[in-house]
Amino acid sequence: MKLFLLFITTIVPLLISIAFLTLLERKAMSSFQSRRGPNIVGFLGILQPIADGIKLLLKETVVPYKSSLILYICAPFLSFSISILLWFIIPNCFLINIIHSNVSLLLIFGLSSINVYSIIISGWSSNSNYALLGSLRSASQMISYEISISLLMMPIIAFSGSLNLIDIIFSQKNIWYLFLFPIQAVFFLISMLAETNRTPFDLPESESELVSGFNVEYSAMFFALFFLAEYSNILAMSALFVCCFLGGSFLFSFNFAIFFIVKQLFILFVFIWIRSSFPRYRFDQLMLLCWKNILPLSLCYLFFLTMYLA
Amino acid sequence: MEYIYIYILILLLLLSACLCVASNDLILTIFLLALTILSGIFIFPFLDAEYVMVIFLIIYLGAIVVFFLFGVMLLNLRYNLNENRQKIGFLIFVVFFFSLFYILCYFGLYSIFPSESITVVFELNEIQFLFLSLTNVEKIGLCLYTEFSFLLIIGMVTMLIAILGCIAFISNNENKK
Repeated sequence: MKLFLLFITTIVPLLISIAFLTLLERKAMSSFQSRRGPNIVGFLGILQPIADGIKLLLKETVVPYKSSLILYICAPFLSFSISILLWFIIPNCFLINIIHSNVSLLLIFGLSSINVYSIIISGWSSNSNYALLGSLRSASQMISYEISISLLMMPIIAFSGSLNLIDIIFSQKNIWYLFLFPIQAVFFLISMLAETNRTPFDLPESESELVSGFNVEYSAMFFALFFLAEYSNILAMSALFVCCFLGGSFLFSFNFAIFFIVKQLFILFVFIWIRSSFPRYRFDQLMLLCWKNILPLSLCYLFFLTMYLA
Repeated sequence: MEYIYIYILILLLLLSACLCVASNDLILTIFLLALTILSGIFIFPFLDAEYVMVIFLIIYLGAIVVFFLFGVMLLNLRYNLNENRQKIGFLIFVVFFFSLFYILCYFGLYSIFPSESITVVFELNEIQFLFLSLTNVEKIGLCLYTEFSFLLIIGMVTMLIAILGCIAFISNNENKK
């Protein structure tokens, strides 16, 4: 019964948050561009996500000719289910999680690795060259930045002495890791943007150029699932940033749930702010940034830290 | 109750491994390989080795099989596979399935469906007791960086030489062009 209640109180707010995050994004971006966002549907556009959902539900599902049907259908479901599964591991604002594990941080990275498969499968099964190339680009980008995320997490794991996210939050009771590892925090923010295929690293999607990249052949509910999965990943990554660098629900050693929510909202706002501010990276610049800039710097810092501790 | 999950995982492992060998399509083979590895690594938490499970997940599933997929998709490989592969797949399944039963019978048939009322009592000294309360990561660290530290350093140096060799090879090729 308790597990069922935990499940309901995690999934239902998550789905509502994903829907209204789309509205937040559109409203915030429109504010940055000195215009009003959606304001027709409902008061101040509050019913816009519901209208979007109904629109996507009622659209015709088009399956490309000669696509691998089973893989084509499985890809969006895999993507969405993995994105939801992430939320079983991340603690909520009350620092309760559904799956208690001593390796929860690594499990998150493992699930991000499986997310790569859904992208590759969707690109391959679409029977389209552009979808395939977009998916392979996106997959290679995600793998590269996963490595840098793992290295950036090492100092935090060393300092907190545990891979459990709740232990990491409690070890930030007196001081946040943002102040101890500011460079890691900035690089982690950049790597998060790349992991979730957000601007300025959204070349595989690049809505203004390639149409949609790996999900170009998907329509209606399948596209909705990819869309929901992307926003769920954004929410999960921002929650992870709050857990690892911003002290979770701690502020000046006081533990209140509202602090977690406020911090997460701030990070989401930063995601949207960056989207409206920066142009897109070219793919070779994107990979160069990871392999030649972020990765060596984070490795050097790790050596420095190990020598200092020893 | 845990043994039901373990048997389901083992059956899934055997089935996906044999389908992997017997499939016509190369991409399907690689996905079935991924499924084989996935069903194999899910047994590790039952052995209190959750860290090993996650590391296998990240490295094997998340990197190595993905690189296989990349290679096959980008090069658009279409090899003529062995015509007897379905028979080989079935033979492998039969061999492993019956060897599993043979091993179980060797340990006694009661171990197939263990009763939950069995309690095991043994005495622990202080070090053994403290060792039991550690996480999987700490146990691996205690052994790897003390008893096997020299072997670890040899392994790391070998990997470093391999990486440097790859970089040297690629830069040599570029210079030749």
